[in-house]
Amino acid sequence: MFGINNRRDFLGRNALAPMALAALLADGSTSEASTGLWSPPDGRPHAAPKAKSVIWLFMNGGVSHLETFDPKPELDKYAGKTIAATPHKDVQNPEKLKLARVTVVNDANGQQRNVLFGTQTKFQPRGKSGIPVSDFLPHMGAMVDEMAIVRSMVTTDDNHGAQTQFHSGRHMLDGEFPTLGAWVHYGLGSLNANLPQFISMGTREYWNRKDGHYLGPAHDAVPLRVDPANPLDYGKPELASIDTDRSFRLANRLNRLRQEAEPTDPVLDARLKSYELAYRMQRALPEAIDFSKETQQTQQMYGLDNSVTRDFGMQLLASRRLVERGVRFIQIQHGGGGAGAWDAHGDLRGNHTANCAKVDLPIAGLLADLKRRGLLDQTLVVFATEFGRTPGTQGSNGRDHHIFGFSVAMAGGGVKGGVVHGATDALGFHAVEDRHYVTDIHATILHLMGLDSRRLELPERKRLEIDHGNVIRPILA
Amino acid sequence: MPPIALALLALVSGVDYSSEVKPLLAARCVACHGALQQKGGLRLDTAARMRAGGDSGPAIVAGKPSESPLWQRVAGHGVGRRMPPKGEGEDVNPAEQMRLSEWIAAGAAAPLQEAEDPDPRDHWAFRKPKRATPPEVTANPIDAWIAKRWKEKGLIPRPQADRLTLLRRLYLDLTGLPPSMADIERFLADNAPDATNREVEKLLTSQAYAERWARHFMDIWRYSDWWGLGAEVRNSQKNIWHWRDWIIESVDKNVPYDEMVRQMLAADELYPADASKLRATGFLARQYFLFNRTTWMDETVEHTSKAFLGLTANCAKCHDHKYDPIRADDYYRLRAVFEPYQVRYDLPTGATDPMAGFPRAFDCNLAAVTHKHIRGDESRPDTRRAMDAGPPVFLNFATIEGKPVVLPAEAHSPETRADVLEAYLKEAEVALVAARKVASEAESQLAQSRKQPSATSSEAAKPLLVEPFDNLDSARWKPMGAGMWKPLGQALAQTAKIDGRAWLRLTTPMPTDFEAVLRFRITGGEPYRSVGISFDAAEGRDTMVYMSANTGEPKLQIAWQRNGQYVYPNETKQQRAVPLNTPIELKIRVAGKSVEALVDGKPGASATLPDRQAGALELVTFTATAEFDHFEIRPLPVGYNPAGKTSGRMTVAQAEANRAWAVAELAAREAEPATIKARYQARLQEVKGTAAQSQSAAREAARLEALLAVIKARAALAKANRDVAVDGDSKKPAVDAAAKALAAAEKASASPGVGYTRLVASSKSPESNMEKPESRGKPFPATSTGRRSALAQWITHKDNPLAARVIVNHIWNRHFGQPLVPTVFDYGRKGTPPTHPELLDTLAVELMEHGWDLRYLHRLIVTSRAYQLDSSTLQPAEQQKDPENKSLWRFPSRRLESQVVRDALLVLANKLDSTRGGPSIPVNDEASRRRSLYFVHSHNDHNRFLAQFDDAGVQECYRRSESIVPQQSLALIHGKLASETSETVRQLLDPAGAVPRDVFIRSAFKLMLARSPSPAELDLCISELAEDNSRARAGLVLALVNHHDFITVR
Repeated sequence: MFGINNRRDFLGRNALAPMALAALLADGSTSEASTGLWSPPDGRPHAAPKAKSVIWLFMNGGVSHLETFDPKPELDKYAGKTIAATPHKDVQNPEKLKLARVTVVNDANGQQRNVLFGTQTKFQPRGKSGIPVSDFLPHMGAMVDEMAIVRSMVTTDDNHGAQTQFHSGRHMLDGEFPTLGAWVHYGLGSLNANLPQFISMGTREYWNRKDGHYLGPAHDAVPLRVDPANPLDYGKPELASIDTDRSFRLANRLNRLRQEAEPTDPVLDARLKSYELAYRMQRALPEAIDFSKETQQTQQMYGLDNSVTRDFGMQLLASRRLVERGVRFIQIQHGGGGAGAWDAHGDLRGNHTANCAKVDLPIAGLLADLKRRGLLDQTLVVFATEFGRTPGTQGSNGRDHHIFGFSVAMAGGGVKGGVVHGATDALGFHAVEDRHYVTDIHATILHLMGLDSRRLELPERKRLEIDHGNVIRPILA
Repeated sequence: MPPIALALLALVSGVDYSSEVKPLLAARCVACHGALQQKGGLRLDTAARMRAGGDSGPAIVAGKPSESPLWQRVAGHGVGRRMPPKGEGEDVNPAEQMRLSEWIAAGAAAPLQEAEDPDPRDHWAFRKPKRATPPEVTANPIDAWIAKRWKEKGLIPRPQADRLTLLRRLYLDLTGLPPSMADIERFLADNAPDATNREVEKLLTSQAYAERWARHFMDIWRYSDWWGLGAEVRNSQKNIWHWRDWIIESVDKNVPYDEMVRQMLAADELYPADASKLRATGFLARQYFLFNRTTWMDETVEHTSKAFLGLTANCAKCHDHKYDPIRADDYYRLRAVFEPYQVRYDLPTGATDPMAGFPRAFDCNLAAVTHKHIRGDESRPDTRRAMDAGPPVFLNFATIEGKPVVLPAEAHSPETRADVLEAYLKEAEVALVAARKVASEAESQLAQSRKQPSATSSEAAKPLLVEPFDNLDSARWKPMGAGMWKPLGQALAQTAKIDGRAWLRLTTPMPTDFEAVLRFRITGGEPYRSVGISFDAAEGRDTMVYMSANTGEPKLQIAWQRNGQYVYPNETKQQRAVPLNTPIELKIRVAGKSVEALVDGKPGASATLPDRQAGALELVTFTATAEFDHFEIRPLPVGYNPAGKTSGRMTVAQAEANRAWAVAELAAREAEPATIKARYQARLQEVKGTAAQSQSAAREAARLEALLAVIKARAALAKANRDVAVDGDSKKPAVDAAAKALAAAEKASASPGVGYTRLVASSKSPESNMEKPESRGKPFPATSTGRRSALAQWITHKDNPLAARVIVNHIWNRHFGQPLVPTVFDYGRKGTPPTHPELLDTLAVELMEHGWDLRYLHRLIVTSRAYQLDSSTLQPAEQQKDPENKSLWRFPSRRLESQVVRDALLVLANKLDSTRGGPSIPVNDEASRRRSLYFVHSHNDHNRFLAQFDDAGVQECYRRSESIVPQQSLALIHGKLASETSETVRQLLDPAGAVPRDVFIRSAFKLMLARSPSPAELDLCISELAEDNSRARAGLVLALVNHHDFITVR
């Protein structure tokens, strides 16, 4: 792990650069053009950024595109018929199904489902743009003029390894690779020296809990609980027998004396700074997630007054507060249990009614709140999931995993509002216009953050072309 | 843009060949058209070569881009295939094309003396290391080469570190533990000139050294405990800790490095009957992956190459290597070495439980063919050609053919191992002794009951508690979790569809032994839909008996939680239908450590708990909605006798039935040893004997087995009769069934034939989730291909240029915190050359000449002058000339690795549990005081303390990261371990609270930081203890735990 072991690198990346960065960003300076020789990122963007922060909302288990953002009247027309008996039978042409790279051979899930299943909800045109959004998401629908909906996503793992894949861009059979949040963390310095720059919330059960991988554990997300009394591991003394606050101060003074004796020790300097940051962080974090100063009206926007929406709403309100305080990347996974709460192999209607109800209002509230505070322009909100769900029925009333076409929505941070990009075919089976693999989302986000993923690459870790992805330019504002 | 316009443009602008053209070609073209390969006979590494061209003529025509094939190919014009070919690199973009075109148009000027790229086979790392003549004679060969660099750079090294600093450095480096106060005092009192060297010897032969350096090897060899989903092993293998223990023992016994490598790759071929050495192939078992053989093979090839050879063979999977002379063919030849191997669990000596087996490799599919995958795509195997097995062709220092190895019977049929027979007999003997005891107890109980007639079993015990659930009685039940409880009049419903657990805790006290009955129905939820009874519930522990209406695996299960970890034994599970919306009666009987569960009156599962501690009773739902209809608790039935042990009083009839059962059981146990011997013999003769011997031994085994089956059937009938006597007529059906089974067994015993059951000594792991039972049960081959032992011999061959350099560099890195070759797993042309090439080679030669003796290498390194220098940066001239200390003018200080941070705290608190080896400790067992390397280490499980300090990555960890992040500070300032340690250290240094302040401070500095405080530090600490009490003193120690010098090896 050359990049991290290099002394200059870890000092630069993990302690020193963030301090200087807030000032650097203010004058809009960007990193020097590449000289051909590799050097670690200096914390400055490569190009002028549009977005400062990302709120990454990931629905574990696989959201049905057919019941959220991608209405398909043909599905209702042929409901109950086999695909082969419709004019659209070519969607199951084996050549077209080759996209799948199977991890669990012969699994009960991730199979072709042949009998079409009618849409389990209705769609209405919403907002000024009139983009249809389903009745499962009335509140998000009301905010559709802020959103760019990409209806033409594809991925390749037809099982829940696709969760990791959506974050790292690589199929789980290829190994483990840094996630998008880790790349952003690696590439950019801090906007706030008192808070971790990469935070995760929610349930992260199925896939690995790490992000940095070969970039190093320093680039893992810091798991945060929305509990001011106990927001993070080691955030407060675990035993009362010692006055740890006092020891903290004494350690700092002793380390300063040590530094006076040896001012040229660069590691010591970094250590002192990390202690100072730790000291400020343990104070700043509880404040950042303390909602007592939020008005009742704001709390209601996030659904904090309702037990259905409260948990997710608290994470989103915390996100807004963290973004306000300059946190770069907040990664929230929604829905635990099994491979993810959204994994509606049975009773799709019941499953999505319940899950949408938990997230719809808080997400709409987040967008509205960011907008009225003037933060939406610089905050990119992403609503994503590992894959869509099959047009065909699984069992009597469920949908299976579907990798050939699904939807992702983005808002704010340099993305156009009120647009739909790409399309699936008449059954919502294959993405047919402007197909995008998951790393196109990564490329778009990095671009908006002012980063060029090729310049983040470590010399000994040559990435594939697919790892870098392509910016989805038509949705850029 | 037409070429004419381009040409005009070039005249105006001018393109520089060296900075604008050559790097472009080097990045996109030269891998295939250069020194490494000359596809189409063409090289593009110099302009002269371009003009000379290849098989189809010159690549460039000066002045005429449009007639130059080079430009045509990259721009996609003309007839030839566009370059680079798809999948071999990115297209040359229009701006780059224009640059190329301009350069050609302007006459393709280039320096006259342009050097050609050298032959990659001459790359330094691919030539054998040689001991160069040192520039000066030094006692330790290391010092001559280090001093040479100082001289070249005009650097003055730091002086020797002071003794105490050096002592701490040696302890931490060699053992991963700091010295105790006693160690410090003893060393400081020893002024003999050889005191340091004696200390080094002592440390190098300690157990702690073996554990410390084993952990380093675990990093390089990417040790991982198994992980998967639930109980399904998907990656690595269960009990892989046997391999970890082999590593520790091998380091301890100073097994030569080359021998360790050979054992890891091929102990099954080299030492097929040595169970102890077979553990080494855990290296291969760790590569196991359930779902995809190609991924499994890829990881095996990649990490065998990286770990032992410093080669990135993985870069040659889809196409020939872009920098090194490794062809894609070589990649698949390496894969072919491993293709036949699979993984199985063999019993270690003394064990009979297949669950206790150690994972090991063996060649299972001798005829497995390796095909090259076209462009690395496993769906496109090139079936025209079977790849032969072997190392990369360009490293042709030796040819070692893999010859088939004939395996002894013990290897391919481990059930013929003598120690396996012994273990089985021993187990039978233990059971026999126990059965005798039970029988004699049953006898005396019968005598007892005849003397004192007691109550009959028909006398039902009075319930201690009856809960009809017509509402939620909050005085009795405390709802917990995120449940929604709704009284339905006749029942109480849990209606919340939640991800986790919702439960009712009984607030009234419970007897230790009891019977409980819960009537309920499961109404929904996802995915587990479990409902049941938990008892002895407390923080991090309980025992749960539950029914799970999970679609995948409906079951009745007895599970228990200790230290927050649940175990779900297969033996305490009953797979069965669990219908939704149907009343179920779950009855549990708890007597001491014994638990029995009955469903709708029928026996379901039973368990013997590891231990018991009183706790609460709870009715639990887990991802389930449910209705509770009725619950009650009663004393156990009179004479209830869960495990054949007698308790309570029995009627005469009951005691007779019980004795009959105990006697029948004893008869079965008595017949067991002879049967085991016969089964063993039969298999032995089958493998080793003549056909006649085999036939007669099989007949005998079959006969004894059939007899034993009859005896066991009699015991089962006796048990059924006894159950009727104790539990009443509800058990009658079992008697009929047992009688039938006995009749069948008797009939079968009349003509036993030759079919017998082999002893079980091995169990193969599934080759994939698709493997069929026929394949799983096929016999293990009697030969092994010999491919892996050939590869291992080749890797450790004295003429191999890489193996010794790679391990020497790894060891150097772990002593100095910076390697000689920075790219520790890439010695190819893309890697970074060594900082001290002659030193690297000298050490490699030294190691090989000393029989790959690692202890010798450690001794050489730590007794060098370079190692013993002071680590201070306080030399402005040197600091300016070489701030990164590449020339080692000072000892490079570094942070303690995660395991060392925790272990150091335990040692200083005098709390380290030095128990060695054995099963891995659950990650969240914070009460454990064992060394950190014994924690479970896997993709899914991370110890929260270790994770803060750059714990080893599971996927690969050729070098540890060394970050400085605030969470580390928080763990050390707030964590329980740090506080406890500080408190204990305070007590150790000042047991009676009578030590003067300054003395206390000095000793604390000495123990924690291995140095004296400066006057300023002393003053500060004294003022800190202005209010002097034990709490303040412990606080001072905690501040030292957070001192830079504590977490640093100086």
